[in-house]
Amino acid sequence: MTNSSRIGAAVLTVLLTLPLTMCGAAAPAEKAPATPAGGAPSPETEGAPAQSNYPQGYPAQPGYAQPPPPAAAPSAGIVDQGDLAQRRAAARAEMDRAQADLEAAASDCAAACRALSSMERATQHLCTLVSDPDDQKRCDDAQHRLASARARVKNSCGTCQ
Amino acid sequence: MKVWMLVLLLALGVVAGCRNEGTTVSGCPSAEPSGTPVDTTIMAFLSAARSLHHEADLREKSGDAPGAISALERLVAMPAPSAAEVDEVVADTRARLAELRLAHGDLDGADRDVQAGLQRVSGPTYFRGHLLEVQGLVEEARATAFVDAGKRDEATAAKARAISLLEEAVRVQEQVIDKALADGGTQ
Repeated sequence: MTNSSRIGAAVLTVLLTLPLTMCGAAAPAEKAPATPAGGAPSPETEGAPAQSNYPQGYPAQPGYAQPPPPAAAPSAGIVDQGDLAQRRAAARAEMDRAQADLEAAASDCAAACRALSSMERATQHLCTLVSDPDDQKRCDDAQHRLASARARVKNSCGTCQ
Repeated sequence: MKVWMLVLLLALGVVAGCRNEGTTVSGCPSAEPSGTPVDTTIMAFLSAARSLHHEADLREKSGDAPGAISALERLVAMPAPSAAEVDEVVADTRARLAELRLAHGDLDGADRDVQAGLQRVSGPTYFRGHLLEVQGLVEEARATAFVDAGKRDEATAAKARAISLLEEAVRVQEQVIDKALADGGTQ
């Protein structure tokens, strides 16, 4: 896998993970009341105040839905908060890794491109000095190395600026 | 890449490498929690190097090669703190000085700069490869000068040295590329 595709994969992973992580724990707490297919509120829920509006210890009003058992929601919330923090930390770590990979790859490619430029200049001068078969062999060898290095840099970094 | 850009990157690298983690500073040349940060000297040197390379750029663009050489000579004459990035900046400055002198026919001066630069860097680094490349150009120019002077044997010897140096430069830069791409975990 090339540098650019590795980085792309890492960034894509982070981008895909982040929204999921951010939404994950909010869902149970903000779950909307179920409505019939037509969208009209059911007789049980229509006009019902939110659960949080009931003062504690008041008797349930006739015609109103019974609130869920009080213990269930807080314990689920605690689990979700922990889970959320864990997933946020994981996403943050993944983001840090992707950023470090990106910076390292950019730095490595800059170094490779700079070295390639020097290699090109040296080969060009070497080949202008050729005057016998032995020199020609050395020029050919340098050109072969240059072509190979150029292909490797192009494969890993794309074009050099 | 322009040398001043390299200097800037190195300077930024030093800054970026330092991360304040509570009461300690990690990743810095001076990781003493309570001491004065010694990397201030390095930062000052790199900042001065950037300014002097910029000055050399401006003078070179306006055709003032002696002025550019003078700016770079001031840089290499500065007390240089002991650090790898400083050695690299000095080596690159020496290579630039050698190229400027070479362009004005001062082959001996160019050779001295190359030798001084090579003492700063060892192993397969871009800076060493670049210095070898410039030294190859110096020998190439020397060969031409000997031919013009009718000194065939000296010209042949200088040309042979030029080819060897340029060949070595190619090999060093090839290793630099291999290392850079391997570090990037490519393929």
